[in-house]
Amino acid sequence: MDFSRQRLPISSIDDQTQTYRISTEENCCDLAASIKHLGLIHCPILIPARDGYEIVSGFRRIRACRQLGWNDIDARLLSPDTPAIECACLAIAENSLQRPLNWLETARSFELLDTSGITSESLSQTASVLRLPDHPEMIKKIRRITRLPEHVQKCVLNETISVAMAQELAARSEDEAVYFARLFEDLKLSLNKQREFISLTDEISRREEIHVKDLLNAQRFQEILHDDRLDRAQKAQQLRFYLKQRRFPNITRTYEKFNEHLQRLELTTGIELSPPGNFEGRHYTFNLIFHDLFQLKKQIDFLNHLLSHPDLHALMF
Amino acid sequence: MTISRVYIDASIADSPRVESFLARIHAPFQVVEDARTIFEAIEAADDPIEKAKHILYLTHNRGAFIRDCPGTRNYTCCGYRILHIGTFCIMDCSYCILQSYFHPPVLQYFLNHEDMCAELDAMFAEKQTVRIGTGEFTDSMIWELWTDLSSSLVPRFASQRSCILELKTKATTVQPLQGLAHNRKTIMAWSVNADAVIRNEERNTSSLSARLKAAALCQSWGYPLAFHFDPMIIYEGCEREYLQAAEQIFSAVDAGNVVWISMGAFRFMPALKPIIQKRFPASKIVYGEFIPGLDAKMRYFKPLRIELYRKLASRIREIAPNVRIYLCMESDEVWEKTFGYKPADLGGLPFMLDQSAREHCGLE
Repeated sequence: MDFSRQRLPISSIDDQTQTYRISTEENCCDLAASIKHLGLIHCPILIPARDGYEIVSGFRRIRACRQLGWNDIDARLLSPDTPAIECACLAIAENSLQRPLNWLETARSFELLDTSGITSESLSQTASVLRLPDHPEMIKKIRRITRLPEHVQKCVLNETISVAMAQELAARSEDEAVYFARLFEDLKLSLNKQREFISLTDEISRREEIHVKDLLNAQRFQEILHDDRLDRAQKAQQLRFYLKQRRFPNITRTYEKFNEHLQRLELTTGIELSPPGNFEGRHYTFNLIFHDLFQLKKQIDFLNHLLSHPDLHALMF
Repeated sequence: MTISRVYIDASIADSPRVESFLARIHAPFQVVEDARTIFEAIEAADDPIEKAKHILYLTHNRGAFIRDCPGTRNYTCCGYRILHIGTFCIMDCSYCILQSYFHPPVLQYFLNHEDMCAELDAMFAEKQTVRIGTGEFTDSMIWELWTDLSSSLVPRFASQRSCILELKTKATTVQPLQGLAHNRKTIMAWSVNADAVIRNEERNTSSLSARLKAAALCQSWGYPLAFHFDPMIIYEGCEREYLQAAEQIFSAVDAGNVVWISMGAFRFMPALKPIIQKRFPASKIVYGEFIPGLDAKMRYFKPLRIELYRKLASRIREIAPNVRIYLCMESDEVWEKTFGYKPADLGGLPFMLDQSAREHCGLE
């Protein structure tokens, strides 16, 4: 790559155009302190533009130098006819060969290669050289992230939302994607729970022929979400129950009834009764925990007495 | 539904049956050494299942023609046997298990009928009561468009007295059955459903009234009949529609000529759900209240199934008290709560159906 090293007035550098920006790091205070102490070790890469110079690499370094009140800066200047794809590769390499990129930076890198006109045939190979993921399916997934609303991208960055979940949100409308991202951010749900929320809301919306947004804005849902007496975990639990109840009304009603009868049985300590799995089989299970024969005898007496309890008959519907 | 290409297994390419098949199907054909050519053609499509409905593979059955129906533990099986004439179907029902049963699904028809006949003769020679059908891995009657299968099978069953053949279908192509010597050893059976289910979930199939018209025609030719409410789908208002379907059946055919009616609620392997969601985005059938059953298939929550079975069974009882009604793959508990007895009380389900077949079809 041909560079000419030049000292340029910092005011001639356009830092508004973000075409080649890869890094998601905004803060440059630490960098400014380091440059003040050691000087600018690694010069930014610029390319001549219509009114001055466009940054190919070194966005934070230039901002730091501005903060330090510098008037001029040493830069590596590319020839104005450098192909966009070469600029893109330089911008990416300056980041990816120095440190591991986060998902958003990786996604930006692919987006940049894409807009710079890379061919699909050479994408995998170039990605490999730039130490980016090179499997076509993975590339496809990562590229979707850049099309997500900004808030969702931020959630990916701060790891509230995994890349896997980002893929699922990418298939939704912008409003829905942001809504779910905020919900997951508020409730701090695990990936499995996030998936369960999405699946339940989707299926309820199909079942009841309503929009997901209307379901999430339903009065009861919002009441739970904004109930100040509940902590995060309680809110998540109650919202989950609300959705399950709406998705499986008969099943949840049956479990509720079972539990009502169970409570009325007033089982003594050490005795547990479980229904058949999903009420599909016929096997009810009593679990007895005892530490001596005396306790076992007491439990057996209790079970004998239980046999005539109307609630035991009722729960075995 | 048209067949866009026929692939012919090189090992049977010289068979006169191939020639006869091709003369009726009018589609471009290609002889292949290996089934992989077909798999590749199917799997390359965006929707391999849809593609597989347009590609036909004429081949020979390398395995057994007569197989046991794949029942599972914990649920009562009727002891049915399958006559394996081919696989897959040209109709396109959202709930069809065949979409996820074969990998990939291939519409194939077996032409080594000599082997099939030899197996049938061996079965007849045992003189045991057998109920066997061709409608398990395919629809029994779609092949009538291009073959004379029924003309060969029906008289073959007519000439013995221990086994009955059930031709199970959603089609109405029954004309080839007219005039065949059947000796009531072939039961013509239709898969029936609520009108809304047929309209919304059974693409490329005929209406209930068309099916019943075909059934009535078969009855007029002396064939005994059967009906299968399977899969029953639970949705708002479904009970009324199922009851109406039952009423329609008995206003079209004579209850005394119905050998059996089965009921089976929709159940599916979990792998089928994403297929239905993708191929039938408007379908709501996978959003019912399902639980994983004891056989790992998703089933409607038990009380919901029982409720629907009871209502339909009770209506059928009112109209046709003597018709044998049975449940396909259900537990004793569901039987008891639906009918008030379990199969064992009447000698077991296979015995109950054998008995009905004996009464209606004159089996020894």
